Amino acid sequence: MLLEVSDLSAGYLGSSVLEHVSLRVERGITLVLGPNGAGKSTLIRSVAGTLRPVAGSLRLDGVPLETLRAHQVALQGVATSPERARLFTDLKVVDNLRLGADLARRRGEAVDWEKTLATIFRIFPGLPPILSQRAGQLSGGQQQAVAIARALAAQPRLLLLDEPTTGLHPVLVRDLLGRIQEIAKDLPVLLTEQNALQTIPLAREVHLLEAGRIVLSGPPERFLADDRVRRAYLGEGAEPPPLTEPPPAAEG
Amino acid sequence: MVGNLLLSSIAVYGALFGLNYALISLGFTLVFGVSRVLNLAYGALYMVTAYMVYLFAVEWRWEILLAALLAIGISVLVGAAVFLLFSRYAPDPMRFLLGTLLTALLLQYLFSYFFQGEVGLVIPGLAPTQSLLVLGVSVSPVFLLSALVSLALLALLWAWIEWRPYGRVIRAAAEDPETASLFGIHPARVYLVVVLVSSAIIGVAAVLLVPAGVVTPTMWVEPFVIAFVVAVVGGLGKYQWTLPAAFLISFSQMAVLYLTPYDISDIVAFVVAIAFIVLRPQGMGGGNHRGL
Ligand SMILES: Nc1ncnc2c1ncn2[C@@H]1O[C@H](COP(=O)(O)OP(=O)(O)OP(=O)(O)O)[C@@H](O)[C@H]1O
Ligand SMILES: [Mg+2]
Repeated sequence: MLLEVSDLSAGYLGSSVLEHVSLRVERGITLVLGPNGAGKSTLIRSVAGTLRPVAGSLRLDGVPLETLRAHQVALQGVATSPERARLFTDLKVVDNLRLGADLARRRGEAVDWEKTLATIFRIFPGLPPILSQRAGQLSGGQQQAVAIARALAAQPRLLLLDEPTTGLHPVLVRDLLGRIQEIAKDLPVLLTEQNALQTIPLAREVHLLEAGRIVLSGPPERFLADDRVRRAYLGEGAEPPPLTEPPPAAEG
Repeated sequence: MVGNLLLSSIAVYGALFGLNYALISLGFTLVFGVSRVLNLAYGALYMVTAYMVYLFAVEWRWEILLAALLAIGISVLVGAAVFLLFSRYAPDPMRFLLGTLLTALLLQYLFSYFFQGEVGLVIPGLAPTQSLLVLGVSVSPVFLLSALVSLALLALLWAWIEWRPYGRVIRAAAEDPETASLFGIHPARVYLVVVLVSSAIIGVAAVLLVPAGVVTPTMWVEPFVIAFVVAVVGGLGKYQWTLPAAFLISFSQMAVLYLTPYDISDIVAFVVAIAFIVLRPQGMGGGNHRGL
């Protein structure tokens, strides 16, 4: 499974945001770092189909996505956890997850609901007790977990995660990133983040997005060694965490 | 001292009128709740159905059941066509509202042109005409049948939306169409399905209720006003509050009618609706939150 973004430009009502963005998403975590307003969510929206790109191409295993609408992109096997989770707040948590499974079914996948739940619970052990709560009543961290779980329930071929750790306690961030790393073992994940320090070591490939352009791309080692990245994103003089450090254990 | 007959009149007529108001309003509220557009052509579908029943059953002398079913089918087609036309070419809420209002007026003039001179047409009904006694109160079987159908449709619709998988899809598309589309749901298609259902409901209402009145080119106004008032009281889009809102209006009307010397039912309905607009603009259902 491979997503190829080539020369992508996108924006809103005449104002252009992304310019000539190219990257590949393969199994593992492809990380897009960038400050507020850099265009991370615009990139996610362009891939997911909620924003029609102005130019460039998006190919999922060779299938063009750029002309498809969001629901058609989803039917190609792309699942998204959007910025700020965007759960269906009127629905119970379990019904949010079922909407994910509905997508898998609509794509013709066989869905074993019990097995889907078991897989999700293994990754997010905190979910079983809140299944019958209305999603609107969850905390921010719980919402992020449900949003990712909802996307996983769709049995995606490609997972898009837009800043899933926003607003979470540092311990929860480490926890959630550990779970994302586990998910990315068998799935290509496009992850956007601002939290460079904790996410770079988990990535297969990192891209730095500034003002709508990719200004630096490479493997984590290169990023952690780059002076500019260290100054601007890791704090001047910060010691990069050793790459050999074992990934944070998924607790529970 | 209020007499027993007075109380049972209020109870029986309050319940009957309430259920019939709910039958008339349900589709209007549902469409707004799911797709956030005010369909002012809604009342016109009631008129379309009535004229079609007249054409099929009276002019062409078809069996009434067949005529009624076909008329409902035409209501569904017209409802879908109007919705598709304006949601495609005039999708912003204000243009949609104006477009559908103009459509209602256009249909009014079309019917008065094609059925000119034939004022106050009468159509046959599905219910017997002999009055019944309920709690000592005389009731027309027409209203009794429509009230029972209303109850059944309310229950069915509720069960569909709250319990069936497609209901989950409807609620998701109603609350957040963009996120719904991330899960393979095409919101426009969901809206269309809901419009089909609501057009069928108002068609059923017309088939059941119009036989108690007459068919005229301005008959679309009354169901529209009822639907609008009930929607305001229940909370625009809160379909679950259709029946409570309809009951509040109908029981207020009957209370004033039977307990005071005044016959001012229409005024009562508007006073209740205006009180809500001023004091509780979100209606009984509450919340400005998007969704059902
Ligand atoms: N719906 C919109 N309409 C118009 N402009 C928008 C819209 N959404 C975003 N923008 C603009 O596009 C640019 C990029 O926004 P985007 O949301 O992609 O940034 P981001 O990298 O995700 O930022 P953040 O880290 O704050 O989420 C910003 O300048 C923003 O003002
Ligand atoms: Mg963003």
